[in-house]
Amino acid sequence: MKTIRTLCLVACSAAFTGAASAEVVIAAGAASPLAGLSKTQVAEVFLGKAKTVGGKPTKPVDYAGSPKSEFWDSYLGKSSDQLKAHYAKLQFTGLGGPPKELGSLADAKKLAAEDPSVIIYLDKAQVDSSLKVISP
Amino acid sequence: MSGGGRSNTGEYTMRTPIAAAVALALAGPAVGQEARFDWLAVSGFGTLATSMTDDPAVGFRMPFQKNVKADTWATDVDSKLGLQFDVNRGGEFSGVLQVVAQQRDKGDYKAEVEWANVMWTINDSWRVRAGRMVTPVFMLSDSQNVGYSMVPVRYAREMGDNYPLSRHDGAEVIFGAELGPGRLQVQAFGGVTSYNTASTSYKADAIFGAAATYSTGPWTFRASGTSVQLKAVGNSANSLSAIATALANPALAPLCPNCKEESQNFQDIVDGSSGVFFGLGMSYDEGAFYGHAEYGIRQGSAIVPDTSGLLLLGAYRWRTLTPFISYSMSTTSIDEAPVIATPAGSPAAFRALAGAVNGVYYGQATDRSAITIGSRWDFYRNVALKVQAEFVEHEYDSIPMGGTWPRVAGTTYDGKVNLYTASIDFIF
Repeated sequence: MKTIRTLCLVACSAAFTGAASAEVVIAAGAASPLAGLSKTQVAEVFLGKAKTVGGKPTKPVDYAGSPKSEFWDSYLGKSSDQLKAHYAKLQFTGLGGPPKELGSLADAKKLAAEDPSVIIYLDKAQVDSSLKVISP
Repeated sequence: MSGGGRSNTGEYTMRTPIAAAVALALAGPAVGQEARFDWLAVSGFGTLATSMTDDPAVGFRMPFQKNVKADTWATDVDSKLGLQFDVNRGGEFSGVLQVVAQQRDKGDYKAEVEWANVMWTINDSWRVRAGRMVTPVFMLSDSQNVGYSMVPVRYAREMGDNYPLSRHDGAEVIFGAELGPGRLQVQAFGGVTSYNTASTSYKADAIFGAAATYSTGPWTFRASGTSVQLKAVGNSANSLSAIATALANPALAPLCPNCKEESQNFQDIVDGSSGVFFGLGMSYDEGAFYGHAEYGIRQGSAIVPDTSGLLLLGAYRWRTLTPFISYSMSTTSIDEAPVIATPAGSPAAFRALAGAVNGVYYGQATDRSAITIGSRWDFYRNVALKVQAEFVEHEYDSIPMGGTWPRVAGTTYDGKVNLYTASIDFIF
């Protein structure tokens, strides 16, 4: 019985550790006119369905080390496999593909600061003065 | 329209490149992270599959393929390999070249260019591309080669057979805009192409069409219309013209009241006839649930019959498994009664002519319904294993069907056949 309790404690600890994952937000450059995007709008942009939001050009950008699984789960509602199948359809019909992936968050922040149409997703704790949160 | 052999010529020549591509998929990065330089990206897709009908009286193949096997495993029906080069993807001017190798009308594997075009992204709403592109007649027409992008092994032939041609050389204008709570995309296209089956070569002098797609959240709705001017060419045109000439013989009039009309039909497919295609479809893709419903029709002319197709598919994702079930059906304007009847005692030459005419129509009379049950398993990065069983019921069991379901001569058929398929789809 003691062994079972120990196993339960370990399992519960692991579960709570897993739950303490990044809180993902969507951000654009501080000077961007983009604001107040809904989850659906964010999903349409990152899935390659929308190139504008409210008439404003919107370009999704990814980067190495981004909190992908949290973003896919909370905004796109799709698994990695589902997304690959979706992007394969776009890519092999010549109409797009996954968002451009930069080397680091720093590169993504720099691009967002330069191009007001760029949007990125990141851990809320990593938002700085060069960015503004546009969703949620 | 029917025909076929059991040759596997070329089947083995593709094994090495397909195996290499599988290895690349297993080892390589995900789609979108392919070998990409500033201006060039190289990627690909492929399918390794085996399929078998459980009835020695009827086989299964793609409509443009020659080989057909019945009651024996065939690996050259769905197996294919595609390689794509993207130049400056996402830029103002971009280009794409996609080559796909699969079994074709001669029975051997042949690589053909499916996409080769240059696209100008004028602004966020307008794009124009010119060159070669796959014709987007129905919902999955332009992506049906990419097995990895679909839940089942293949796009239901009950939809795809309404428009068996693949691509066109021409131009396309794509307009996209926000509309209400969603996005509207309109594609208008035009061009020319050629198309070969094992028995007939065709040339399409004018393909024009438009497709409107509206997506909002998990919902996608699509409506399309396409018009094609089609004519038979080469040796097959000579054979069809010879039939037309023979049918026009005034001496046949007492024996065959509709021979004159049929003569015109056979001559029209040589001179050029029109076909019109309409499609309506919708899909739902949210979380664990995926649904697809589609209806399409073809208004044929000359010897090309009217057809219709229906597809209903539902899938549920559970971890890496996606079990699905679908119902599909297709109809043609051909029925079991012969177009040209042969009264008892009619001359042998007339019976032979009637047989040739009726054979052309019977080869297209694959009216059927199918229930398909299967599952996709995303068991490894960039690779999916699929298994499915199709329970097919043909409307006519006594005629020599062709196209995707060729009958094997000298056999009897009860109209029911099951098709089992296992495939590995991959991207790299």
